[in-house]
Amino acid sequence: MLNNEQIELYNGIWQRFMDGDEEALSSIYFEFYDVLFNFGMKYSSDRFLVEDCIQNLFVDLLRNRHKQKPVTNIKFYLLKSLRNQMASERRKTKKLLPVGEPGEAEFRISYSAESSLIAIETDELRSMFLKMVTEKLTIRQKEALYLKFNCGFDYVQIAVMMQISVESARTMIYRTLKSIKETFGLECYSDLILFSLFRSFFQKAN
Amino acid sequence: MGEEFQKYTLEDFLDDANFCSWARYERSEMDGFYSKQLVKYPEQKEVFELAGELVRLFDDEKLITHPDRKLQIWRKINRVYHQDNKITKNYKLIFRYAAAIVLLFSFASLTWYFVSLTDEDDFFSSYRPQELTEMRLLLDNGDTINIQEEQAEIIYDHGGKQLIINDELVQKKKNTTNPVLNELTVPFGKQSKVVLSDLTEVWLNAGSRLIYPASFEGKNRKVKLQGEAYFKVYKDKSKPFIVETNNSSIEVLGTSFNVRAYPGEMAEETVLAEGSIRFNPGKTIFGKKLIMEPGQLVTVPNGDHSYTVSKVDVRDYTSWIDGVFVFHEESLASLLKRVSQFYNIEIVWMNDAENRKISGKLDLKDNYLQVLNALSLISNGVYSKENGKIYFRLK
Repeated sequence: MLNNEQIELYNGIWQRFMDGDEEALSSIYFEFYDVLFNFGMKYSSDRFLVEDCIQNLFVDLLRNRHKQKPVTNIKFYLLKSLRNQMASERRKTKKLLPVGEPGEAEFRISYSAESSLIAIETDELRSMFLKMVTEKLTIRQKEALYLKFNCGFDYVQIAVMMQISVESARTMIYRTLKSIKETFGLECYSDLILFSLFRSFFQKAN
Repeated sequence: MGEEFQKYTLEDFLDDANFCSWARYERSEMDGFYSKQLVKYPEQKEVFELAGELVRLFDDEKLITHPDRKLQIWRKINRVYHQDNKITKNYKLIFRYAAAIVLLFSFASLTWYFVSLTDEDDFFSSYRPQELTEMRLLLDNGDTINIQEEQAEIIYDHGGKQLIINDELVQKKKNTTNPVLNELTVPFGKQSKVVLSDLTEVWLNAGSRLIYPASFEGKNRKVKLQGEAYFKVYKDKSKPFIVETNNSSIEVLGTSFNVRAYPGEMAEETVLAEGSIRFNPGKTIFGKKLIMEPGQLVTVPNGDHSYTVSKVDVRDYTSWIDGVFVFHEESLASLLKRVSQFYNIEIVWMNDAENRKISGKLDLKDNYLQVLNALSLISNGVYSKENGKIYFRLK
């Protein structure tokens, strides 16, 4: 993630773009492409769709250059625009299906290679059950936690992004964490004991 | 944090942006801090580790896009932007010259019509990529360009007036007097990508040939293909995009699909990744037209009007454009064939390879020996090299 200094730098580059320097947008594009792509892949598994949406996002920025306003956080602004692009793309392709809130349709958690590696190294069982618990969350809950933990957004930004009130964002995250804690405390440890019993049984059998 | 660490709950940890980014290994200056705190308050270890793991569960996959691909997309952004910019600027001019253009269009489409009539049989019978060692591009002015690289990207910019090969602008020696078509032939062992004047992207696999005009001036956008290509067609509802193969005709508006139509093979295969396409197997005028859905595979036996439709995993058919072969319950024989085409090597296999079904993934950036080693391992086979041929046997 970018630190505050870098965000300041890119906010300045954004200013140059607004002043008419089209080249400035290219440095923004190359700096943020991977961030945008990874973010987009959370909302769709279709690589080409994500690429298309990033493309449309930047074409729109160029087209509406004169209407752009200064931004406080360029990363937040770009991710929010990408999410809108993806929601409108989905509305176009799935016109016949009932569409809920934008972005709701397909938010996926794909566990990163790194986290599974750690799972093996540290406490294998615990992280397996943690995965089980988070898989049970709703799409909106997963999205909220992703925006908070991974993108480092605050409640105001999460609220804008998910088009809900700040209060609902706060409550949603609070409740989600609470439910994770509860399920983890109740179900998992009993399952954990069962599972380790099974394992020791099979190890003996072998 | 310091004193508070002791009282931190799961929520407190997760609410702390510093902690979250530290848990994703982003800030090294926090490293020492947390381990010191844990020594001081070991009772917090459980909650601390749980919070860290939860953060990491929501981490990105950290997909890194190749710089070349980023550059391609950036160029496309600029082409799309400048294209519609021009349209608005020249709005009035366009009207003024409308009559002239209409005349030109009709002339071009007439020529295109006659060219396509006379070239038809010639194109599909003169397929000899085996004889080539380099990629060959025939331009509409009669120039021939040989491309030595293993992979090439060819772009028809500014509505087809400018030609860029591997980032270099190609100067056409003479101008076109009578428009003939452009033709790109990719020999076995190489791959290429073409961006046509309408911004449609075409990935050409080894041993393939594509014929297309430098700019599309008729009422449709028509190209001809032998071999295998992945098309990402730029949306233009007023001009349907048509791919003709030896045995079928495929009509689309804007979508992505893979066509495999090697003359030497039993059947032609078309897989639709997204959108919808109209499929005319056998190219019969009054024949049945089939509307394909994403994820469907249509197989048309060569020299036949019949076809079969099945549901497949699209990745198995399109992974080659990313430099990997992904395969799922595919016969060893068909995979060996793909490998031999891709690397331009001759592989001999026994009949039992037809029945051996394997699944997995091959990285085509490896050399062919590494790929064959991997294949032997997956299929439980052995290979040997004799007289420049590879003999593949099952154990």
